[in-house]
Amino acid sequence: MEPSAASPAAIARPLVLGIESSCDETAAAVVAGDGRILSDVVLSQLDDHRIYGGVVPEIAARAHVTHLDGLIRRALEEAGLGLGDIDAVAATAGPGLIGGVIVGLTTAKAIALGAGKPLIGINHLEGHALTPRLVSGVAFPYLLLLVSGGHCQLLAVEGVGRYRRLGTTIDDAVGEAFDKTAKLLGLGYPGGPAVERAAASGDATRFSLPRPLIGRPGCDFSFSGLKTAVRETVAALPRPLSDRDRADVAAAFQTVVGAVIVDRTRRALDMLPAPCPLVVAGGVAANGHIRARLQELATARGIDFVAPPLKLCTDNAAMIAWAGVEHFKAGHTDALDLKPRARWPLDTEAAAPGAKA
Amino acid sequence: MNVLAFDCATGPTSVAVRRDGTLAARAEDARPQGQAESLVPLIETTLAKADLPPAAIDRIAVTLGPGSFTGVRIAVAAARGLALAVGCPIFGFSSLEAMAAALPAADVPTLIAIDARRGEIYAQTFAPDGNAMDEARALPLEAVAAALPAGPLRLAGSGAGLVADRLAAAGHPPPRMIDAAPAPDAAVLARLAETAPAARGTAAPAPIYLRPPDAKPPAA
Repeated sequence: MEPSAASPAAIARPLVLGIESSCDETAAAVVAGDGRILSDVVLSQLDDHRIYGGVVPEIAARAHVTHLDGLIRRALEEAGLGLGDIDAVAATAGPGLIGGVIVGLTTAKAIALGAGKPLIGINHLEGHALTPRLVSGVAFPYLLLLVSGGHCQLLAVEGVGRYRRLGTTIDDAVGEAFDKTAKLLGLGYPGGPAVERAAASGDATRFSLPRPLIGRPGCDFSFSGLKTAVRETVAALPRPLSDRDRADVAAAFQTVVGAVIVDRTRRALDMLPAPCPLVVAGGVAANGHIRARLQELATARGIDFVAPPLKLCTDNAAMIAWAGVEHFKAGHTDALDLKPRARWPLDTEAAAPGAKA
Repeated sequence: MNVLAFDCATGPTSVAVRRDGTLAARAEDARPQGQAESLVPLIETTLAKADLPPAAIDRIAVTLGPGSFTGVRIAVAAARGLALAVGCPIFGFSSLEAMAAALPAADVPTLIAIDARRGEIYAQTFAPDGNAMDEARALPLEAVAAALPAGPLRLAGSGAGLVADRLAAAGHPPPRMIDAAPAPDAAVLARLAETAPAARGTAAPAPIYLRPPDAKPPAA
């Protein structure tokens, strides 16, 4: 491709093209070495999956292959760059829905080959884990709370490629619990924003729900018991559900989730050798109640709290490009035979068999 | 003209490069899986064997399916990514068209039929001159006899036997059977793309799935 009219010489190197396709967002972005986001294009497939009440892998994979190259073209155009100006191509290589990961990684490999640029395969979780450094320049180490539809874990982030998992969910991810609660209350999909909206006018004290693992040692999570309790609570209510009942159950649920997250995070902070910043990432980090509770915890502890802007909490390609920048600076690139992975724990030593997230 | 062609729609992978009307390099990988790892490196080594830098590719040829959903997506994603980087058009062919083009010439139409299971075949008919007479489509076996021309026919592919049974039951004349079902081959694809009219090239061909995703909305 021809170099564009913009002057790439003035932009901090490396310039990395990032590609994300591990769930139901197709995304491409260009990020510079100093963290400037030159473009960040995301296409959500939400409407394609809504009637199924969740992401259908084959539908997602089909949408990724339909849209990805067009989004990459747009990301380059918005950045005012040609592929010739780029220093590396970074793509999510896992974990996630394998059909989508394959589309993004294969596209990245083909572009890397065609344009003669290095390929960098990125762990999607690492994209979330390094996002705080993209937006705030926070230094290592920090405690990362990663909460999304597929993941729920607490990680000590000690450096690029150095992640120690302190706790994880032993059953469902917190985002799944939000989706399930929304479904039980007839609030629609995706559940996170719907539950938060309903909870805003609810009385969190009317229903009593269990507070899973609060007070227990360690910092693992569990949400399946809470899910069951919500189901039983809803089943005992008169039909059709009134708006008041919906709001009160949503508020009780959200309050318990906030309390669980704060308790687990407090314990993770205690497991670290010294105070360090607290960082939250993942789609559930978009929840205002949970953000506020975490901010209170950080303030009480006298530590910094970093919550990326909402757009960078949910899946996006800027975080993948940025993780590519960090790896490029560290001299890491990958061969074109890199294997896409459905499962890829950030901390391989802590990977528990059977855990979903 | 420099043509890069590749196929991994039905299992095995093949890659070929034609330069100025001759086959300059061809490589294959018989493993039915793992193309997400192996396809792009195989393209890289085949281009190197043909001494063709990626930027000098004039046309990319690829099979769009039907076949394995994942295999088709790997090939299409690789083609669209390369085309974006190199700035050349893509010539997409159905896997049935690639199979038909590998057969010796005939004086009757040829039906390529793939056993798609669940009581269906994937089928496409080609005139004696090799041109497609219809689009690749999924046909229920019970609809085969009515959907096909009643005249003489040549049959090839893994579903040829199923089709012959249905035609016989419906009183059609016995078709001419080709026993060895050819798999799509990148060398054949490269030749097809080389002679195809320029207007057939596109920036972003879509996969040919012929089947909707397995997904049902939850019962209300």
